[in-house]
Amino acid sequence: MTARKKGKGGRTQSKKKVAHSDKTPAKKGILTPILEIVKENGEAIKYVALFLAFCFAFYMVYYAITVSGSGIMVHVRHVTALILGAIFSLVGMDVVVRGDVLTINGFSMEIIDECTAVFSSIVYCSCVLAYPATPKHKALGILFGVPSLYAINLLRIFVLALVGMHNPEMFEFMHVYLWQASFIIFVVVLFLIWLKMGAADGEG
Amino acid sequence: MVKDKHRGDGGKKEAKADEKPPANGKCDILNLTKKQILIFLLEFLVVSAVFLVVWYYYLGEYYQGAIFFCARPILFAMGCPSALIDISFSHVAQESGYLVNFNLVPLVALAIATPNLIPRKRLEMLAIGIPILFLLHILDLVAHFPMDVYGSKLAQMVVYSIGVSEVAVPFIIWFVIAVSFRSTGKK
Repeated sequence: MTARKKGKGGRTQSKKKVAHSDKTPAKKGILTPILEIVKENGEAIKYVALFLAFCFAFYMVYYAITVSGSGIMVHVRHVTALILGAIFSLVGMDVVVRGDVLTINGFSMEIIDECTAVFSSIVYCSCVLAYPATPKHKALGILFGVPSLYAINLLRIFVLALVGMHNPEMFEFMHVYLWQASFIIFVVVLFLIWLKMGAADGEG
Repeated sequence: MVKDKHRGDGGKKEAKADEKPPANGKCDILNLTKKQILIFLLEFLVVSAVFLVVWYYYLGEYYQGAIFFCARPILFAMGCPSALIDISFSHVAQESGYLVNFNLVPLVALAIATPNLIPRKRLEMLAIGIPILFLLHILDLVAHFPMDVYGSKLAQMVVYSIGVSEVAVPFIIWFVIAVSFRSTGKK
């Protein structure tokens, strides 16, 4: 009814309006969804970017240490072998430690960089540092997390050595299982515990 | 927790409502109790052990075959002789190289074991995570050639970085999909 009263002019105006409204969604179609996604996930994107940056920075330090042959990682491997040797001696086993090679009751294992929890520590430190929290809480997270990861790693090698001594056929299977599965899950669990510690302290 | 004390009965109702996964399906990670974290850990260890058996005896070799299939044209394009590619691939296969690509299993275990997550998010985690890890494993294999054959420093850097990436990539995929920032109580 209203359209009839408007006549030609009304029709022209409505056509113009349609034409105008056609252009706006075209602009929205490209930019708006992307901006909306960025807005909605802004903090997650920031976290991922920071996490990757920290991972890269720590990895570059590790790489520089390894390539330069400064011997830091060699010492870490030797210390790990010595600690494990001491633990096995305490439980009454016959242990020989030569550098990074550990022999327990005739079963030999070589301690490599992966056996020192260095990679899981890099990932854990990166996820703690990238997370929005106070510097004190982050420092506590690293002081609590890195030694925990190292201790879990010692336990892992201890279990592996026992498997290797008593059931050599299962060694490869257990090595793979405890290697990556334990690295990933304990980084996740320690991170969750750290987040919980922050919540309990009223950090959040 | 402090807020809950002041809530009274209404607060209890709200707390109960919080236990359900939010509408976006993300996990309200700070609401996990210590018991829930422990169950998560145990569930992860059991699920990953079961999947490792499947991987070890059935899937691993096929997955490695798929990686060889995709890596071959890349290496060929990089100028690697076909004979060298064949020798190297058979050497990797003999050494059970597919076990190195085992971190696909922990990702699946994370997707299954993470509490308070809707099925769509679990599937998303796998749909995004598996292709990314697949590409990472191809990169790992491809980078070994310029490192071993030509002594490339860049390739060496990539190969060494896989140790970090194998832990970092599943973690970040899990974090982005499972963790809700709104629920973590950020200031």
